[in-house]
Amino acid sequence: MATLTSYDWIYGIAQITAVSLSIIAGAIAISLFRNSQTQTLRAWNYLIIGLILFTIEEILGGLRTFGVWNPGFLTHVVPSLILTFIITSLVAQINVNRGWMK
Amino acid sequence: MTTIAESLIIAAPLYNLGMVIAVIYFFIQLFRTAKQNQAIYTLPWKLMFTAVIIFVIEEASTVLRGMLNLPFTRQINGFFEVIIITLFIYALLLQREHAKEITTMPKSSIEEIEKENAPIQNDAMQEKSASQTTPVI
Repeated sequence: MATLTSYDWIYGIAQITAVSLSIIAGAIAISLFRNSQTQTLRAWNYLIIGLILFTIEEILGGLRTFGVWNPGFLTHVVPSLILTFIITSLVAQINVNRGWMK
Repeated sequence: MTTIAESLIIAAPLYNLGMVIAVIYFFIQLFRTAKQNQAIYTLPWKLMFTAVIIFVIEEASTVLRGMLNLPFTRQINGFFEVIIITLFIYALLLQREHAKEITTMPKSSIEEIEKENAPIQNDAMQEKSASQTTPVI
């Protein structure tokens, strides 16, 4: 059995931290979803979906790091979806700033 | 199916970087529109922008890892993700507090603030309204 170096320990802890924090972020995002139903906060609806996808991405990354399951191409496709929702939220927020969505 | 998966693994980081360029462009547009209207709360968006920049660095390292076969870059991504998620959580908490303040603020106060900080429509219109004492219909 190969011994782990200090760096492997630190990196593994960082990965577990990222997964845990992403789950917490997902929970906070869902709680914000209830308050973001007004027009001015509509952009945050899309951002919240992006954050939930980011949580999924972190969980997939954690599973791959610890050798539980290799998600393959999913860890590259999910960021594309995240970026799509970020672009949508930015466009919505720009429209709110310009007063087009009141 | 395996061929599609392999193609996606090669192509995805590259088109992710392309989409990130679009994201950065829209962030710049967002901050420009927010400059004209001081009532808009932009701090969470600034934190998101910082997180996107860090994501750009992470994706660039992923692309370089694939092209140049550098083994060490993969083991750095986890640290980038911790920083990104921390920024996300802070932005979410800031926005949640701001949303609570907005919902508890009286509607008349919100309207006053929006009226004071209304975006500048047109320089010509402003000069015209400043020079005339009676409104022009």
